[in-house]
Amino acid sequence: MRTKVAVVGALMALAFGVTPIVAHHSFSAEFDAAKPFKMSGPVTKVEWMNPHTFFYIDVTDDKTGKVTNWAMEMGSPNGLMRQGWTRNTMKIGDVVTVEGSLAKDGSPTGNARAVMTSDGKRLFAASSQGTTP
Amino acid sequence: MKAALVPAVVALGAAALPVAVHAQFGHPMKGQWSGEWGPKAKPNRLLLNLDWNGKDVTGVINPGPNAAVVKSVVFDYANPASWGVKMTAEGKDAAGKPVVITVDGKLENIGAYLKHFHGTWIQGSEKGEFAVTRN
Amino acid sequence: MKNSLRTALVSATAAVVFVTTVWVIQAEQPAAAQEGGAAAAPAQGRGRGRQAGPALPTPRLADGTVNLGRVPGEKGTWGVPYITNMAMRVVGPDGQLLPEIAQQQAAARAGGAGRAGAGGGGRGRGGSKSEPWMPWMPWSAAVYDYNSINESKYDPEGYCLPPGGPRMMATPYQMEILQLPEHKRVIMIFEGATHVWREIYMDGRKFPSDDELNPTYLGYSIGHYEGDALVVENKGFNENSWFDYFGHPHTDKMSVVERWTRPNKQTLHYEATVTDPGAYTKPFTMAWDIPFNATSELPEYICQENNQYLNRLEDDFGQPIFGPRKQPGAKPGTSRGTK
Repeated sequence: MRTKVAVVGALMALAFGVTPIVAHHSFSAEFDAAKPFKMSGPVTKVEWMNPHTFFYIDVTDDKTGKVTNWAMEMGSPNGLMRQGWTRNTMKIGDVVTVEGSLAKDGSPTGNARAVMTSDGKRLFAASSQGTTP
Repeated sequence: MKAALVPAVVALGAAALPVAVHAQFGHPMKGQWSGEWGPKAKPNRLLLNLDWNGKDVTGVINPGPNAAVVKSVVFDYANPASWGVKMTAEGKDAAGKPVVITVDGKLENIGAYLKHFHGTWIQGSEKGEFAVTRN
Repeated sequence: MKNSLRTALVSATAAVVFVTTVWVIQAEQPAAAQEGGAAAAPAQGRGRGRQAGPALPTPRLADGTVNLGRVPGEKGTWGVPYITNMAMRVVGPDGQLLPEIAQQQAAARAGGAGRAGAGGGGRGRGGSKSEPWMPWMPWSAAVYDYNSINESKYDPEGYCLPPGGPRMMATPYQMEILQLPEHKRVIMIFEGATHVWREIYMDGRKFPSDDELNPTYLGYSIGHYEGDALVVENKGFNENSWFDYFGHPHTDKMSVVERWTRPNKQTLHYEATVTDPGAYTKPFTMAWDIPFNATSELPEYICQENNQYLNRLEDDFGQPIFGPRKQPGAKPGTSRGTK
């Protein structure tokens, strides 16, 4: 499985991680920290919901032009709000670059660790990276 | 992998299942829709971002520098399971000139999360089929 | 010697028991009807909660506020009734059922089959045309007809998601109201509807601004007392639930004002005025009674535990509702997995 990489001048990186307080399922059951990714595309959906907030981006394969919609997992809304996010922080159509770990099952799903906008806009203050496997 | 997922599914029903357990049951046109229009060989990607203000459906087609603004959406409710939808929008062509978009389609699968909206799409002088599903 | 001691002990015990019993019975005698408060008959639920006997006066907290929950030292929970179609509980300005609704109910009782299938409904549901008093918008009537035809197949409460708004008081499980005056809040705890709780802020705060108000299933609730009524304003509902089991739609523009009163010890009177400029052209008010189950306590109910219905649920095109995520743009009737 190829890791799709789309480099967009990443300027100010924001780090946020899966809060270690996540109680229900473990990061390593679903994601592989040894399979990092970095990809970008326009935001097509934000699900500001429990137990995890998800946002989705359209990623275009440079070679084939095929568009795949990727699901990016973040923390819960309550956790994100404590870090300064609101449900309106990301807008539909914003082109973002996401760094994180791929899902183990090969589906177009990633656990997001860092989100950057194409103009380098900082979405919110950086917080410590999630370290828990 | 399945075994690992089962306890998570039992516990929460949502975390391990990639598909949305939730739904959105306000106005059926509200939300984001992704898909394509035009010839199969060279389809044009579509992202609709639509809202409902109590009177009209409003929104944008392909938010970003090439966005088109929805001007009107008219519904035909004769069949509650398959609504007729006529939509017009104003966009710009590659040269930056204004272009009218006329959409005539059907809105289906209204109760489920993955609603379908499909039909014919006329953009300027080009015409084709379109199909989007609710994100 | 032993025998007579034993007899004496038994007699003494019996006497104590007798006296205690009499004392307890006397303590439970309803106080003489005062202030005419026992005018309303006790609420009659179906099955559980059937009340026998005269109405008991409304209990009060130490500071005189109406007590909407248990009397200290006693048990009891509210036996929420099962109201599948809340549009049948719409009342006029006088607080009574609309005459059209009363007529329809009388006709249904007299005529047997009644209006089954009329107005686009399915299997005994009349659809929007059978509820002309509802201030429909064309789209909300169409959604209601769709939900009527497929008989609430897509009701998210079937996914073990909580119902929001007045439907919490139409979902048939026990609930309790805990007034915490020293904390300036009222907590409501529910056995059913996924074992949830509501918190009503009684500290005189204002609603958060739109940006801060995260839409939720149960909304944001601020309450105050008006005489013997607890009045609660609710805003900030998300669109992830159905307004009622029959599938009347609502939007996130909905706000609800509730009035909770307790005309007698056995009855909770619930009234809700719904204003939803996204789905209905005018506000409407619904009301119903909830009986008190004097001997009940709240059991546990974890809806998510074994909801096998989810495994079989398919959409209008035969595709499973829960399953691997499909790529956007999948044509109707196709199954496009992600692998």
